[in-house]
Amino acid sequence: MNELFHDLLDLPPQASSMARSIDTLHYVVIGTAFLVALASFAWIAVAMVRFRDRGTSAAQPARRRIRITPRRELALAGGTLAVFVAFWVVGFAQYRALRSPPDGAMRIYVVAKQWMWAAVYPDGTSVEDDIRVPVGEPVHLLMTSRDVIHSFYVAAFRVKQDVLPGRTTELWFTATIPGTYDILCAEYCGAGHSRMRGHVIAMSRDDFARWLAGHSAPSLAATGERVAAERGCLRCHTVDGTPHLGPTWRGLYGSTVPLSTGDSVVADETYLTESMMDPSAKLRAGFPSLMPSYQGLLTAPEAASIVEYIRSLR
Amino acid sequence: MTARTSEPTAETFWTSPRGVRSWLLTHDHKRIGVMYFFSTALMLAIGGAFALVLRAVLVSPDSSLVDASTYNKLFTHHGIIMVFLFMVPAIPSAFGNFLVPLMIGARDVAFPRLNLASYYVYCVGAIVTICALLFGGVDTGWTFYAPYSTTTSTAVTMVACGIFIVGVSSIMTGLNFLVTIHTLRAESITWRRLPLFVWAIYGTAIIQVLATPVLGLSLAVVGIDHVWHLGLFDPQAGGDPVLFQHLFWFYSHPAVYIMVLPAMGAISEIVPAAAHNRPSSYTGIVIATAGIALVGFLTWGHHMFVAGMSTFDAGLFGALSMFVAVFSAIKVFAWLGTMWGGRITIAAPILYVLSFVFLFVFGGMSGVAVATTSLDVHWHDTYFVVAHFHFIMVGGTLTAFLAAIHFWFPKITGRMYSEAWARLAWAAVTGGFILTFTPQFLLGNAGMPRRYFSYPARFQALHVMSTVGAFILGAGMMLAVGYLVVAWIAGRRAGDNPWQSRGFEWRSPSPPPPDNYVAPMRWDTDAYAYDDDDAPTATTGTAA
Repeated sequence: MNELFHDLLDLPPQASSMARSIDTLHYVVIGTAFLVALASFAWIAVAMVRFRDRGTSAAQPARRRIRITPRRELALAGGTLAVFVAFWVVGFAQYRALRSPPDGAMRIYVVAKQWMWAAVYPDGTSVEDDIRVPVGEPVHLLMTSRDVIHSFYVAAFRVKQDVLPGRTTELWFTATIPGTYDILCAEYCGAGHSRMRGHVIAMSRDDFARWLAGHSAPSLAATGERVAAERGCLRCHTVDGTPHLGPTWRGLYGSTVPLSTGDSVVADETYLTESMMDPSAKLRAGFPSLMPSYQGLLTAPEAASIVEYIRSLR
Repeated sequence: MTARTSEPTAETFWTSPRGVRSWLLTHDHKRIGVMYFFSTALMLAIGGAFALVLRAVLVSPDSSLVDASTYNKLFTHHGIIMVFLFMVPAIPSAFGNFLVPLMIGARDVAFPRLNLASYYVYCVGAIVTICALLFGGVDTGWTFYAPYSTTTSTAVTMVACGIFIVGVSSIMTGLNFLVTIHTLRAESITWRRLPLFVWAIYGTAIIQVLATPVLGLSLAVVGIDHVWHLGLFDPQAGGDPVLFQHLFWFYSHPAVYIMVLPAMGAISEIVPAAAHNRPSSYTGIVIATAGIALVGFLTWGHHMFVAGMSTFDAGLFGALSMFVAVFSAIKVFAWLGTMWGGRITIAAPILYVLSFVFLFVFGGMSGVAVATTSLDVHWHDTYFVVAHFHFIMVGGTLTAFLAAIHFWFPKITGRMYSEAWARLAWAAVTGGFILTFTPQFLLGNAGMPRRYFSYPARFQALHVMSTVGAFILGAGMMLAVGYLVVAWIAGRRAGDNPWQSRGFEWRSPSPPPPDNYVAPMRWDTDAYAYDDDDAPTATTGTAA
């Protein structure tokens, strides 16, 4: 059944852990749409034959009128809504799963710009356009843009996420079949939009480990330590657990941070990046609003390296 | 009672008063409607020509017809012209102007001068928008997403100005209809007896008046930002690019209903008149019209499921979108019920209704599909979405526009077109449409993003099919223009009411005289009073 509909609807390979279940919902929703449209068409076509104006002929069927009473109206509307709500319930459960990276997923930082995809791994390996990932392991992409809005789209994985300047957005997948899959930019970004293509290359775990080892570079955390010193971060933030002008970085990652508004937030990659770019947006309780914005001062890879450095201070 | 047939010598709004000047300075809603019709039809032709160039480019994965930048400008102007200069004004301003006063027993709209002004404001806006092409055009897509739109070097400010001006015209038209429908109804045409097309125009006018200012605001900000770099949507300056998307879709999603509600209204008139049957649920259609006009304001976020919105918001907007779809379904049920058991005049209008229902139901259900959050992640910004909204806007609105032309042509011109040619054009338009856009659904499934000048070669076969379909659709449209022009000049006289409709608009002579009526009218029979209509040759058009 899956194969028949998959081929009929011209879908790409189901190469991620989520693809199969999303496609199943796809078959049900599109199948329903097609049958309902066909039934409406058939209804009118039959009516046009049966009830066509026959002039004065006696064969004209007697007039009758289908009256949709309020009770019938409610039943029809309620039935329709029930079908739509069923789509919504299943779809939203899948959507929440698509938006919730599992703990311990492998992180890759992605930077989009007109018109290429760059990525850097926590060990410092950086690549352009071809992002290699191990099969069977969840991969968590932390993405930002250097210019306009782009969108990271891998059809074979059924995942897509807009990539915004000045903000970190996330996407995750687990590739299930080794192979090379297109990354296509799905948000219009100018003259080179249609050529902003890259690949996700899914490899066996062993091949991936070998490839990564062959690209040794200073780890991202080590780069982050250097950048933090050069940019003056460490004048206000300590790395040994003592508070200074700003909160200490030790143990910060993954902790729950109380905010000056009384809310609290988990210090994940998104929050840490936001705090560099827009420090007063979510100010930590008990600290003054002293920090300047590093928007435009730190490049996206530098910001990623600082996040990795903070993450290493546990 | 009115004259039963219009003698060729009878005074009609076409010839009385005579002269170009009397047309240019007219306050007659019918003349203004006709002028709107020709202007919007011209925009449809220009936008359609752009579409055919786009389709020609897409035959090849790496076309040499135009370069990427030109292609980007072509699809941008195709969208802008079709949405803002054709779809939004076409049915409300052309057919709404012509029909609303006739359907409520009025001699004109409430503000005839404002009506004429709205036409000229529309013309100025359209000219500014089109002339931007002479200054290099614009390449942002019709959605103007920041920060691309605030940083591109193309003529964004000029196009934003043009659309802003067209928006002013749209607000004027909407206000005029609201006041007209409230104050100028004949005494016995109560709200419960208001023709369904008028209800549709009423719902449309509410959206025009409430939503268009937000579009004006967001485009004004983009235009100003483009010149003075305010940075409202630029993160470098502390702005937020997603804010623009919220502002833009707050108008542009309800704008979809500005485009489709009048189309539904036309269908709601044509179905009872062609089937000679009372609507199976008048109240249902009215409530659904109000529901679409109001709940339509609360669904804009479904354009942004992958834009970086919170998961909760995505779920909420997804659920609200399902409610709007239910209101559309209520109308479909009512049309289907009305068709059953009547006495159906098989002619061009009902053939277009047949196409409309199939295309609109599938297009609408594909809208439910893209409102399903997890499915949208795959489809968002692919050809699936392109196919979906073309099913609604072309399969729905354009088909209804053609149904309306074929239904009200004898009302407006007093003449009848060739039914044989009309059926040929209907077959070409419907067949061409299905061949154009069904492959685009599959392209979206296969993962082809929209707005792509060049594409991976595996998508080529479906693109070629789509292009063939587009040219068949274009040929069908040109054929329709041909026989309609011939019929307008030399068609046979149609009589006052060739469809034997009980609709209020058919109770005046066709074409109507300058003041709509030649004698005082009574409106005490219903616009859908077919219950006693058992003699197929019964002449109607009698009000008394």
